[in-house]
Amino acid sequence: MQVGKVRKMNKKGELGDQAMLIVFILLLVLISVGVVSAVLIFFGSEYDFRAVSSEVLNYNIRDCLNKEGIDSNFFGNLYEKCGLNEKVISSNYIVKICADSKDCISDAGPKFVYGDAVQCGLKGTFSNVNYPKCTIKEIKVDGVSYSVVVGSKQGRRLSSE
Amino acid sequence: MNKKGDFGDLLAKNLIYLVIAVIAVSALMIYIGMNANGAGVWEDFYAKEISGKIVNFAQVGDEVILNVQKASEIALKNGVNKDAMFTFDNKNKEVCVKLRLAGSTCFAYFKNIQVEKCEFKLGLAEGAGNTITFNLYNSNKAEEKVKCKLAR
Repeated sequence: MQVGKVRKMNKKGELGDQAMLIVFILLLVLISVGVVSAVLIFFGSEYDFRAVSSEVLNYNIRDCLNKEGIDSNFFGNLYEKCGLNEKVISSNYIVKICADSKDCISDAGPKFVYGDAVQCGLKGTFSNVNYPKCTIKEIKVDGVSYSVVVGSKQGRRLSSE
Repeated sequence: MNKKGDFGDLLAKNLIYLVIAVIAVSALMIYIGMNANGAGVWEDFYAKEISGKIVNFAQVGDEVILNVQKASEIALKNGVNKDAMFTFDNKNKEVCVKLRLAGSTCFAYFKNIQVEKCEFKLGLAEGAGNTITFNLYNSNKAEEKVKCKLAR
């Protein structure tokens, strides 16, 4: 053991050689966040297909009303009669069908209803992207005018597979 | 003081900075490269167009032949297996499109229809694009998931 050796004190109060490493890493993180955000903003927004899908479902329902013929059981078995999947429609769509109605959206006695069709009548529906996209069409079958209201809120599902 | 300004000494002192910078830049380049060909955007587009405009309009007994040249170009460039690009999920009524290694995009169709026998065909003739061919039935015999496998 050495005796009498005094350790020199660092009186200058210097920072260590690697002290700037934290600043450097922070700078890299900042740049990375910028690049990732830019890529996400450019490529991340979803292709809005809701207007088209509501139009297609509306067409399918009107086509079915026209072809299948409307009997007393028709609206009770709409999914089966029109070959529609109840699970997909109930989780992504709004459907309301009225007969001889001037305003199907607020009609209290529709022939068929699933979901809150009032959303399709709000002014915000047209400008606010968070509202469902709706299609309202009419078809005449056996002298009765049917209004078909369809709203779509269906988006993509990202899978990890 | 080192008046000679040795390069080796300088490099050794800044090695950690260089290593971190190289790792960070490489990671960013890989990330940009994966997104630059728009795989996510095209997945979204194909899933919605196939599901929304083809399957939802199709009738039982239809055979659909669809040009998927753009999608297959991106998928093959990204190293996706030829048999895994397009999948029809008959149970959940979904079309899933995979154009990148990490993940896929799915979109549901509301038509109660089963997809069977999907094939991915390479357009070998000049000017012919790669296609997928699938048949639509109303039976419950179809597999739960039908992958568009490469026609051999």
